[in-house]
Amino acid sequence: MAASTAPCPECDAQVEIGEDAEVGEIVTCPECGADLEIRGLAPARLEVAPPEEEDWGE
Amino acid sequence: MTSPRIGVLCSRIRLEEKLLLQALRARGAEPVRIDDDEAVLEIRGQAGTSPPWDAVLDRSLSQSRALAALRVLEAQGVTTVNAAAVVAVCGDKVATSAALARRGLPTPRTLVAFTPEAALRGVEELGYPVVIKPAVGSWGRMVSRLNDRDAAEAVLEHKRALGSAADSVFYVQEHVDKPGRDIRSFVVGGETICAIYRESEHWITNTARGGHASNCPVTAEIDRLSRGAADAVGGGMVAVDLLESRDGRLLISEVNHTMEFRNSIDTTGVDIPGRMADHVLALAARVPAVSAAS
Repeated sequence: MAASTAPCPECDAQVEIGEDAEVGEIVTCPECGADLEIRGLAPARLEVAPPEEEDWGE
Repeated sequence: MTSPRIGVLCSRIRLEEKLLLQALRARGAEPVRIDDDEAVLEIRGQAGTSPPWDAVLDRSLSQSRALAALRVLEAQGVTTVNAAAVVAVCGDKVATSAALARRGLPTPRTLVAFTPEAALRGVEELGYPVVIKPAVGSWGRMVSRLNDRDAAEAVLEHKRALGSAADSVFYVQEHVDKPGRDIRSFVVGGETICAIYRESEHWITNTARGGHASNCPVTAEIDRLSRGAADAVGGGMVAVDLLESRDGRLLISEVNHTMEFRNSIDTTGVDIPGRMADHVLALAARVPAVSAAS
């Protein structure tokens, strides 16, 4: 799949989605710096990523 | 032959998950993401049905979600890696230390107490500096080095006033005066596949906290302790943190069940996600991994 773009839900900038992107991946908006989660690829759709939770870790 | 049905339980697709998905696909699998935000799992037994997955790889960031999901999947007859039992042990420092101690594996001296007053007695028994860690937690969060009694009283008072029920288990550990680095080894299916040094100016050396990674040759002792630690927590795929003491001993400090490895592939030259994918597929095929040593 070719690279595409989707609007940042925070600032409406166009965010580039790479060719090898996966649903669930976190990207950072180059304009406002928001952490965004890729929620769909065709068409590309972004949502603000949920914040880190207390029991997250490795 | 149909491709194996591999589920990947995850919260976010970080670089690690992306590399694992790519490695599974490169080996002919069609991994399906199980999003722990969206999942609705039925608690039921296998009862004549075939399991919905040949294997599920747990990459959930959330310790509690992973444990619950893996328990439900295992009841359905699904092969999981890591297994719920491994997550339960690795996610709880008391359980990890107890599992290591039972095998006679070397760890920093550790005391457990349940009130701030008793914890302070434990702190003074070990002597300063001393380390207090939350029994449940990761990425170095809330890990405190206490250099004197004032610091100990402050931290214990804060835990009493601000902590949750989990904070009433005080995990007090001997501070190991390590040489500005620790060792992280990666164990997959009973084999120590590689190790890194994690160097930091700060005494907390987690790469999640800015520690710098470099290759660490796997010595016989690192291999022995790494495999021993992995086996003690129930096997699977784990990252073992080792501390070098000034008197030349290696001590096991932690075992991590959802290992992060992005900084360790180029560093070690080992295809960690590839090795992990091989292990998952070997489990899915119910064929013991060729490399698995007991």
